[in-house]
Amino acid sequence: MRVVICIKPVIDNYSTQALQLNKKGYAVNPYDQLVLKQLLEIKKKQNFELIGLCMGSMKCQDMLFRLLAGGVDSIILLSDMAFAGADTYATTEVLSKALIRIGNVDYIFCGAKAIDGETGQVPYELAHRLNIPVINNVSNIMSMDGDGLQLERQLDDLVQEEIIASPAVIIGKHFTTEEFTVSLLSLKRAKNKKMIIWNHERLELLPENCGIAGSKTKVKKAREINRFRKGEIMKGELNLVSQEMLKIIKG
Amino acid sequence: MMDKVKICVICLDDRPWNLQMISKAISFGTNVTVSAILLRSDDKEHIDYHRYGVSEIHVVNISDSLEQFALTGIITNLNDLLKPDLYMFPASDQGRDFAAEAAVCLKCGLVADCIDINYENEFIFVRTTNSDSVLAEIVCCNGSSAMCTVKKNIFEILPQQIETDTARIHYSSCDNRNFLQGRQILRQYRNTDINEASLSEARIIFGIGRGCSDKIKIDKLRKLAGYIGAEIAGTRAVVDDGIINYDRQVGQSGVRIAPDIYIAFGISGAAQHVVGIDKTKTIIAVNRDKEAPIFRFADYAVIADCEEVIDSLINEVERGGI
Amino acid sequence: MDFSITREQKEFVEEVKRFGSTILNNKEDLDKFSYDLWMKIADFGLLSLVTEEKYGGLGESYLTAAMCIEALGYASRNNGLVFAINNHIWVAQNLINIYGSDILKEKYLEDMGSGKKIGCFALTEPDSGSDALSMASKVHEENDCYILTGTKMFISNGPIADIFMVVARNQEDPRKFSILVVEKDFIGVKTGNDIKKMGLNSCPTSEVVFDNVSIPKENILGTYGSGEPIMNAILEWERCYEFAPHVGAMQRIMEECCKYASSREQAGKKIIEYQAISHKIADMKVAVEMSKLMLYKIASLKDQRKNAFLEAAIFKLYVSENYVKICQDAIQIFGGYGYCEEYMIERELRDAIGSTIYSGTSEIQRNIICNMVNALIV
Repeated sequence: MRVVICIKPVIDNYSTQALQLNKKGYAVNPYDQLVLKQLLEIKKKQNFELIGLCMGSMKCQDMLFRLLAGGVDSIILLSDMAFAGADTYATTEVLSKALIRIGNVDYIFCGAKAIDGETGQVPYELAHRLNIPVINNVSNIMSMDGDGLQLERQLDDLVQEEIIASPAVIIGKHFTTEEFTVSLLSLKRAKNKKMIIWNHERLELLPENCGIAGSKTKVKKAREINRFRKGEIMKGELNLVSQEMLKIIKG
Repeated sequence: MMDKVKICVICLDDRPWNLQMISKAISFGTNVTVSAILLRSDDKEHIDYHRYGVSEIHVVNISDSLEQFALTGIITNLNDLLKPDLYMFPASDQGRDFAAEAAVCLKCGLVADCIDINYENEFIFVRTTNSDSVLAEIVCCNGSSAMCTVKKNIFEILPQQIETDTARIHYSSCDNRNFLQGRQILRQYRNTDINEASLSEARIIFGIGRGCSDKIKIDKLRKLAGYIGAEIAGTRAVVDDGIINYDRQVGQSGVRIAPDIYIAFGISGAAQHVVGIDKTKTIIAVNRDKEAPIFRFADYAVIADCEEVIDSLINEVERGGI
Repeated sequence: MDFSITREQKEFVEEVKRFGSTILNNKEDLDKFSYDLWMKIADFGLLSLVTEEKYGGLGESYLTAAMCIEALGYASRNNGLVFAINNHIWVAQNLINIYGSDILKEKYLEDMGSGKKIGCFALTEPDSGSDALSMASKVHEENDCYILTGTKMFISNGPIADIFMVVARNQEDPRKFSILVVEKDFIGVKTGNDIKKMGLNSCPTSEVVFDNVSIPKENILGTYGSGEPIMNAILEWERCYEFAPHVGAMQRIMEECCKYASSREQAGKKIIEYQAISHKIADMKVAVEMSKLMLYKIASLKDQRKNAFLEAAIFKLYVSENYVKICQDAIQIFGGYGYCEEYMIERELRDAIGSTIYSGTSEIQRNIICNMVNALIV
C-alpha cells in the first residue's frame, strides 16, 4: 500500500527549541504533524509505504530529513523558484501533478489547514483535481491493513468508525504542537533513505501555471491585528492577590 | 456606482446561513442580480428565497448521503447560463467541498472563510490568517468568476422584500455518482460527554494548560470551579494528554469562547490557544514562568505557582465566601 | 588543518540540542535524579555514542562525541544530569570499551548503552583526594577471585550505580594498583545516602563501602597491578569529556547575558553599551572559542589513539576556571536578578564551582602542567 502525506512547512516560532535556543527555522504544520504522528504510530505495527510530499524551499531539507529519521520512507520535495507565492489553486496544481507522477497512490493524507494561510481548501481542491473522494474530520487513524483504511471521524457529537477504500484524500481534523523525538541511530540510518527534489520541469509544468503566476487570488493588503492586552502584574502577598482576583471575578 | 454585477449564492441545508449570504449579496445595491443554486437532500422546504431578493433559483435534489461531485454536472451548465461574477458558498465542510469542486471545474480563484466582502471595480474579500493575527484583503484574478466561502453569522439577514413573484424557480435532480461504494461505516455513536453549550454560555471559565495538568492540581481546580460556578476548558496539549475531553478544547481547532472572565492556569499562551479566548472581557493569566507569552494577551498577570494560587483562592472563598 | 564540521556531525549536534532543550530542561528535574529521563537519554542514543556497533552502539568518533556532549551542555540547564551522563559514559562505560576484555564487553556494554545499567568511577576516599595514590582501599587475590575492602567517598552516581570501577591498592605489592569492575549486587557492597551538595544535585553522590567483596577474576580492567597507567588514562578521559559540556554551558550563559544586557536599560542606554558589561561578554566569547579548539584537539588525538594527558590538564584547568568566572560575571551582569533563585543564574555558579575541584583540583592541574613542561624541556 502506498500512502502520501502532504506536508506544509511553516515558520517555527512556537516550538520549545525555537523559544529556548532562539532557533529560526521551519516546522511541520501542526495539523500535518498530528496526521504524521498517527501514521508513524501505525507504521510500527503495519506495513505500508509512506512518502512525504512537500512543496517548499530548499531550506526545508533539515526539517524533512528528520521525518526520514522518524520513520517516513522517502521524501519528495517540490522546490522551484517558480513555485513561490502560490495560492491554493497553484499549490494544488503542482501537488496533483506530483501525485500523478508518483503514481499508484492509495491514500493521500492532509492536515485540515495550515496555521498560517488557514484556508483549509487544499485537500478538497486536490481531491477534485484527482477526481477522488475526500474524507474530512478524521480524528484518528486506526489501521491500514489489507482490508483498507480504517479511521475514526468526529462530526460534532457524532463519532463514526469507517473503512475507506482507496483511492481517497483524508483530512485530519486536529493539530499538535508537540515535536517528536528522533534517536541518533535513526538519524544515522536515515542517510540510506531517499530525499528527492523535483522542479517544474520534472512535473512537466509551465512556470506560468505555478506560483504567483499560476495563482487565481492575490493579496492586496495585509496588516497585523494586535491582540495584546495590558498585562497588569498583580503583585503582593498571595492572599491579597487572591482577594483581588475574587473581586474581579465578582465583577 | 456599481456596474451590473451578477452574484450566485450556493445554498445548502442551513437556511439562516443561506439567507445571510443572500442578504449580503443583495446589499451591494440595485445593480446586482442575485441567483441561487439550492442543493438539498429533502424537498420539504418551501422555496421563498425570491422574497429576499433572489431573481432566479435552481433547486437541485441530491441524494441523502455523500454528495461529492454533485456539482460538476450542474455547475458547468449553470455557469454558462448565469455567468456570475461571484459565487458565494457557505464555509461549512460541505460548502468548502463544493467550492473546491467549482473552483477546479471552472478554473477560478477561491477565497476561504471571508468575514467581509467589499466592491471597488472588483470584489475585495476580507479574511484573517495566522491564528487570526493578520487581516488580509484578497482579490480573485485570471478566472471567469470570483469565488468565496463565507463564515456563518457574519452578515445580517435583511428583512423580506415586498412580495414578488418575479423569481424563476427551476427544479432538477442530480446524476450523482455514488461515492458510498468503498465506504463502510463500522459503527457510530454519540459522544454523550459532549456539552459544548455550557462553554458558550458560561460567564466564568477556567482554562487548564500543561503547567497545571497533574491530578492533584486539577482536583483542586474543579473544587474551586464548583465554588465559583466556573466551567472548565483547556488547551490542545491537555486534550492530547487525555485530561479533558476535546469538546472542552479552546483554541484554533476547538471552541472559541467569549465569557466575562477567563482564568488561564499553567497555559503558556501559544497563538493557537489565544485565538480561542480573544473575545473574553477580562483575562487573568496564572503562570510561574514570567516569560510565558500568555501574559501579553492577558489583562492581569499573576506570576506564581498555579497550585499555590488555587490553594489561596480556595482558602479565601472558604474563609469569607464569594 | 581542516576545522570544518561534517554534515553528519552537524545533524547530530542539532538533534542533541533539540533533545536537550525540549526534554532535559524541565525545572522540576533540576534537583533530583530521574530514571525516566535516563531511559529517554538512553533511547535517544547518547549513551551509545562511541560503543562499537556489535554491542549496540553507534560507533561514532571521539570528535563527534565531543561535539555532541558540548551541544548537550549548551542545550540543557540540567548540569547535574549532564554530569551524571558523562560520569557514566567516559569513566565507566568507555573504560570497558577500551580496557575491558571481550568477556566484560559482552557482559556490560549493551546494558550500559540501553540504560539498564548505570556506571561510575570510584577513586577518591575520605582521606585521599589529591593524594589519590595514598588510598587505603585494598585488594588481594584469593583462589579464583579478588577480595576488595575499602571506603570510597564523593562518588558521583554512587547511589544509582549498578557497576563501579574501583581503584584499589594491591595487598601483595603496595606500589601497584588494580581497577576492579564491581557490581552493586556483589555481597558486601553498600552505598551511603545521597550527599547534598552546593550544586549538581541531580547527580546523586555518596560514600560507597566495600566490605570483603568477592569479585570474579574476569572483572578487572587490564591486568592485576596495571591500575596506575589505566588510572591516568581515566583521568585524561575525565578531564576532556566531563568538561566538554561546560564549554557548551559557558556559551549558553554568555548568550543569556547578551540577551539580558541588550534589553536591560539604565540611564538611557542598554547596559550592553557600557564597556564594563560588553568587555565581560567579549571575554566570555574568547574563553568559549579557545575552549572549543582545545576540546576538538584532544578528541582528535584520542581518535588517533594518541596520548593527550598534558592537553587534558590544560583544557580542564582553563575551562573550569573560566566557567566559574563566567558564572560570577553573569551574576554581576544580571545584578539583583542574578542573585535571585528565580532567574537560575546563581544556580549556574553553584553548579560550576565543583569544576575546579573534581577531576583533580586546579592546583593539581598546575602541578601536572609544570612538571610535564619541565620534563619536556629539561
